[in-house]
Amino acid sequence: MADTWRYYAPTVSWTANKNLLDIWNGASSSKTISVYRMFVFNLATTVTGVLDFAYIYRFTDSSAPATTGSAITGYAHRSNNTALNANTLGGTGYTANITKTAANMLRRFLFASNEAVAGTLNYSGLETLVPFAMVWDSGYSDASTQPLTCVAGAATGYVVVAGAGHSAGTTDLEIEFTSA
Amino acid sequence: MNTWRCYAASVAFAATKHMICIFNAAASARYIRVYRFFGFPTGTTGITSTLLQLRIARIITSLTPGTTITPVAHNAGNTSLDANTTSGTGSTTTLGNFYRGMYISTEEIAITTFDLDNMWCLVPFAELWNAGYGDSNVEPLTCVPATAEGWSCYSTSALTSSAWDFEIEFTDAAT
Repeated sequence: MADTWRYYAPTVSWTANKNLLDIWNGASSSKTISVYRMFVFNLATTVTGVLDFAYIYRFTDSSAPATTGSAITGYAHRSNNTALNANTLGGTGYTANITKTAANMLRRFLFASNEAVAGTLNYSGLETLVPFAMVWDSGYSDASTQPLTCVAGAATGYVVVAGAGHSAGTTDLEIEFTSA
Repeated sequence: MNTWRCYAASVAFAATKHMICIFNAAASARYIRVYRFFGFPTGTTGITSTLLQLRIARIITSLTPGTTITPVAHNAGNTSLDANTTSGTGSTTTLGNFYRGMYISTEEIAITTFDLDNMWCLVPFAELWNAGYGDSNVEPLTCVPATAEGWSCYSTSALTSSAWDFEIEFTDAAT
């Protein structure tokens, strides 16, 4: 097993075109980062939300994502993991150095940011459930399939992005990745 | 790998409560690897609920089990667990980082309706944490030897008159 880590961003607001959670491995990193899973959990309460796409992009900016947002600290799945390389970074809400192009879009999916309600079953409620919150996975242990990878020596990142229509509600996001 | 299961039936929700947890004290020489957490609703009558957030959390420093849970072996031939590996519900410990937060609803389950509350009755949705769908590249949540640490399913707030069954599936190994 490779050293496994988690970026966990709680209570992130849905706003238009927001970079909700990103991971970036700079060219100075000597580590290969493999992204296995991404989760987006609906956390909305008492809100009239929006149905719009969310996106998963690859980006290759040479500088670390920056400005406005917040850094996310990686949490180890095993407390004696080797520390992450200083050029492996997570963040939420960053606006600079995350260049998204159509050619690098990996997935889009419709997300409803309406409140989930006890005693009701609707799309927003389903988005609170673990299997449905997993918006990216590496292939259910299929060794023939690569996870999303940032190779050592090349600046690469991945980001979950809100669509232009999102303007209400909150979410918890996770990125599960290995460093080797 | 020697595999074990902590099972706690009808755990009442309360604010800031460790619904189920496992802890490996520093004196343990074993690796404890948590592969799965499960939570199943049990209420069938008279529960009016709202949503609450359950957390998967690392716990640190020490554990007073509260109500002790005796792990059950998946294989009766398993070597006994280290005495410093303990489990409980309603335990007293120190919270570390949160690794996941997710809403649950604990309203009563009815036979003639199907809504969000029913979803957690179904095994795939009751699985609140998994180690990676069998992907051997991904580490489970791990307790290493000589480090006081553990893992918990933690309730942030109270839900009146409701209780769930909880499980932790874990392995015990020397390396």
